[in-house]
Amino acid sequence: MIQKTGLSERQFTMLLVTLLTAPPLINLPHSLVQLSKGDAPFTVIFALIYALAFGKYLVWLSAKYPKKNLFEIHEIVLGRIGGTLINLVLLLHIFFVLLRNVRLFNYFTKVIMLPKTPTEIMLLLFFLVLIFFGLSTIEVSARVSELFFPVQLLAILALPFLLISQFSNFAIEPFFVNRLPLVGVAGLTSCTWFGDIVVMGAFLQMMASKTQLKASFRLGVILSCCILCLFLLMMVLVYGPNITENQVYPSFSLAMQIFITDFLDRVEMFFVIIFFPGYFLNTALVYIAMMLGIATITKSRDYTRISPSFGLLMLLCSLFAFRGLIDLNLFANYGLPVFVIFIEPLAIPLVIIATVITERKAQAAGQAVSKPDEKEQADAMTTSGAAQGRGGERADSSPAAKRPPWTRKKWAQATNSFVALACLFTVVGFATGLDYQPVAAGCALGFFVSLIVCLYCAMKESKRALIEAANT
Amino acid sequence: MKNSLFVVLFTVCLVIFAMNDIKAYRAKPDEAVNKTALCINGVTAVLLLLWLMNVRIGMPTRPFIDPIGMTVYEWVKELLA
Repeated sequence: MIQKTGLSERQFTMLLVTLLTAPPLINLPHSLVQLSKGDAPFTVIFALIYALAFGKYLVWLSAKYPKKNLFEIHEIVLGRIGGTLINLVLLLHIFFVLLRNVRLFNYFTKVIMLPKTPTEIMLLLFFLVLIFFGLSTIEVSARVSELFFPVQLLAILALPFLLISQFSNFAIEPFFVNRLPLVGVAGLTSCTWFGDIVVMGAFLQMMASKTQLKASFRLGVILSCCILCLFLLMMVLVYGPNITENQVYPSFSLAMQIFITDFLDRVEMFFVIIFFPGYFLNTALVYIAMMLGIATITKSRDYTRISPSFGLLMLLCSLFAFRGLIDLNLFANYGLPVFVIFIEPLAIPLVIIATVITERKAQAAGQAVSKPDEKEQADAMTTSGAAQGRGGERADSSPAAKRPPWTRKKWAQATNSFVALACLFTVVGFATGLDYQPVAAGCALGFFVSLIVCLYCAMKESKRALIEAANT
Repeated sequence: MKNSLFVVLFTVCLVIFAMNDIKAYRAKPDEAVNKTALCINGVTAVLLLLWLMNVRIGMPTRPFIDPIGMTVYEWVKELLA
């Protein structure tokens, strides 16, 4: 059943963005602004680099072992016992992410909308729907995501225009003046939230083309970082760092600041309605990933059949996991990051070393572990296609269109260059922030422009990957 | 104080799901997925009983809240001061 399902590049990107942005928008901004004040938008660069590196690692593994998910790859490279141990740690991570996400939304709903509804009943209803989603494959979640994601993205893009009358340009100045250790800790916190990307490892086998998988990861991560950066920037511009750091749900408070007309009141509820499916899909994704992990460990391929019983178990666990909102905040912003910081850097090198050793052993034995690299094939094909001036696209008679289109590789290099440029602007900004504020302001502007151009390049890269995969 | 409605609804769901899993297990006893589902149901039933008996159940999240989370929080507060 797992082998038959598949995701398109667009669906994978949408799911990844949903996974990376939904919970951090509820809880992370408050913590980031508390640590790095007005410089919070710049801390997303840490998360961007970390998530891009993690995505590359997952794509590398997927290229070595096509049609396998992360759990299966662990079992192949580390053996039955070693693989099961690593998988259990990975499952624990996903379990923590699931509990955190479920309770974050539960408390959010309770505080904002349903203060008198018992927590247990809210959780029961939430899990019943989750069980229903678990009975189907990830494809269903992906299709639902395709329905709601564009609306959410439009709502996010509309926010700056709706809030423009509330912006105070003085709130964000001066740039790059906070202490580096605090900015570093904030960056580390954002990295650990983006560590949720490991959940996508459970769906590596869903995409046939590694070129597309790579492009999806890159676009998803960059888009998520841009969304987070946009929200942080708006929070600082609307409320200023001091008010933002004292708010429990600054993203929701941001939506409360929209005053369109007198008769159009409570626009923030409209935003909650738009974002609810996204948040639910995020939880469903983590839930299905966990079931896939359990199914791999227990050697039962049809994970959908354990959904009802597993959902009830998770419901009880989420009920017992946290005693209140303070517990949840401590866990989400200070406890879980420690787990992620220690576990992921330990597990990743171990798996990389084991993969290299397995590959060398196989080569020594005269067996080819990996199939011919699809990426190289695609690149070769595109290069030849590009040399002919077509590259899979419709031929155009205009003079500009006669130039060969950029290959995916070229767009990827452009994306990397702009990520590097954003890093450079951050470093120069912090180096000059205290002494030459105009230079720091220029660096801040350069940082935001670099991120936007980087997003554009990633989109082009994704588009080219689609064309190249179709040509392969 | 437990929410009675929740306890009733949860128990009904558990019974229905467990019955389905038992049926599936009796039809195909060799399938790993049926055994897994039964195990999960068993753990859920035990957890529910313990909860109803007011036994404090420690979750794996607890160490990341009290000793670790609190320590990191205090360290960050010192850093901010």
